Amino acid sequence: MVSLGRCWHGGIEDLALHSSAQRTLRRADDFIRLAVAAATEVLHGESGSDIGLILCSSYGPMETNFDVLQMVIDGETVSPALFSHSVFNAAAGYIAAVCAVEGPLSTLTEFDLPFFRGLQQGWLAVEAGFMRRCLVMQVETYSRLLADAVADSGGGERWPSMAVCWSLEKGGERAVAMPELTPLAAKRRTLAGSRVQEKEGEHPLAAACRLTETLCQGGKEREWKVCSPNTECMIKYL
Amino acid sequence: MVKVTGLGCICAACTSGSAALDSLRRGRRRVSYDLSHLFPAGGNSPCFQVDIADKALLPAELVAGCDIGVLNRTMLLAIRAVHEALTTGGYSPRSLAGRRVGVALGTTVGCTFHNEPYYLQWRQGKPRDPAVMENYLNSNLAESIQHFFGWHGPRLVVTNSCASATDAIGLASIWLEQGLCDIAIAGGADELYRVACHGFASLMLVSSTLCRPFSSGRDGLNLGEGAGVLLLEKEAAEKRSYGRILGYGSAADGYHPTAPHPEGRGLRRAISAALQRAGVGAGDIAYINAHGTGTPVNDRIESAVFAQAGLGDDVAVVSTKGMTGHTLGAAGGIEAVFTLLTLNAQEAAGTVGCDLPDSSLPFAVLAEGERMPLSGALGISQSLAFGGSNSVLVLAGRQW
Repeated sequence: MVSLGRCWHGGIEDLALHSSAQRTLRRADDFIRLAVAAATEVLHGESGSDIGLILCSSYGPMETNFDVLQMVIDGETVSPALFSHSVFNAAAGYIAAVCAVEGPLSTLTEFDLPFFRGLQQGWLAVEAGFMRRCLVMQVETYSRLLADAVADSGGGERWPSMAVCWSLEKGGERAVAMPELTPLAAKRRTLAGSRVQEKEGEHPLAAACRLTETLCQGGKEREWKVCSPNTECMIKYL
Repeated sequence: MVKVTGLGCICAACTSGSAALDSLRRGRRRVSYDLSHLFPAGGNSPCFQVDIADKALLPAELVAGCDIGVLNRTMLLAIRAVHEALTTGGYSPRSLAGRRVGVALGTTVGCTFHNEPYYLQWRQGKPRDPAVMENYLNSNLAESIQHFFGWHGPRLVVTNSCASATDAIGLASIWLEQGLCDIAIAGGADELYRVACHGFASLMLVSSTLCRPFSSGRDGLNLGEGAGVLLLEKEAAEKRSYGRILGYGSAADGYHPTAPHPEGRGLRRAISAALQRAGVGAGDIAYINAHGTGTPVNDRIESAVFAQAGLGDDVAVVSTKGMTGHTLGAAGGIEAVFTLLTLNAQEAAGTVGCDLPDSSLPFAVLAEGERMPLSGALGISQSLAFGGSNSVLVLAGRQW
């Protein structure tokens, strides 16, 4: 039986890292900071080798990727720290180091309902006994290039940097069934239209944030359906 | 338990899985020395490039109706390996259309937006082709493979740096065990890309000469490209198999964001977890395909862990990166293929590049030119990664 534990969502402005984390993160980018903040909020000081992590993202640390690319194009020597932060799983490594999470770490990349795909993987990992507790999170910080591309395509408001994190655990009171993902007719994604977003005109992380808000407020619903144009996801309490 | 019913592989050492065993036995290195454009000025390093142009990577029967121009090289390498895995598994490319086929693939380069002309146009405030960005939004490796072959089922792209493919195989085996799909494609793919070459050079991890895993005087890795893929099916499938996925374990060092734990704490736990899930002991392992990059630190840590793992005296430990280079997100897939083929051949070939085994390492590996009959049918394929991730597969040959 797999249950929902604590959950959190927030943006850069919500960051409240303790001083030791701030030291470790002094050269980290916003992607890593958001990820560590989300894990810290949900873990509440818990640590150990039976806790794992599934970190999902559509775009990863895109701004840092471009910072490295710029150095390469300019013929500069690439900063070792910047390069190591540009890999998608750098944030997971920081979470492991700062929060002493020593179980399996997986970073997944997906454009279509990444958080909910991660939730399914987390549920399976806990159910199959790979870990007692699994943090499932999505982190997005986007980039100036992407923001301009969205604007050029007639997209709406600028997407804010955000993270969503849930804890799944063995046992517990809020048992949930495995999140079910059903493919819908495949549609090609564009930046401008609804196709990259979970709902027309919304920030790509909006559905996960809204659901997190509902859970944090102790909503009474027994099941939720989240849709993208390409996929439908059902989450049900048992 | 999960059966491996097909496999596909392409790398500098071999252009197919069926040719891989012969390549391992010959131990010949196909190295490119003329890729200085990938490296910082004055920092050239040998690379293990697949010597096939993009357009020729796609199998002939898949070319019709396919717009190769929208597929990046990582995708093309993956499609080629997937096609071989399907074929060796007895399926035609389109025969699984509409079926619950899970796709779990690891990559590092393949998940980033790295269209340099578009980026430069943006930097210079020039008009940009929106189709380039749209193509990126529709180039997720696993999603594209599913669309390309017409499959439904779970999918994921694992971006755990150098452990990506090992984790992809492990996670796909969980899908099958939990009934999420009937068949799964799992492994990894990555192309050579100059950002990775510059980055590894900046970390002083790249050797300016041919890499020498576990050898005295080793001074770094060589980068490579390729794809390695397994076709996985449930145990019930009555068909020829290449072996089984017996166990998967993964653990974080929780020590440092980028450096491995000096005593291999996470790796020890990952090996232990994989053995436990497989229901076997360390003494049952006959062959280990180590991560073995050729960097001083990696090889020392792996050797120390092997020395404490309770392995038998007759285990053959090798690294195959002397023949493939470090193919990053593809490495775990390629090495899982090599592990299964070696277990089935019941003979291990030595570590190419290990010409002078480092006597200071606590566990001796099979050196270049050596061969060793295997004492059993169980093997380990393992990967270590940035971020302190350690991932281990326990594999069984078909005779197990």
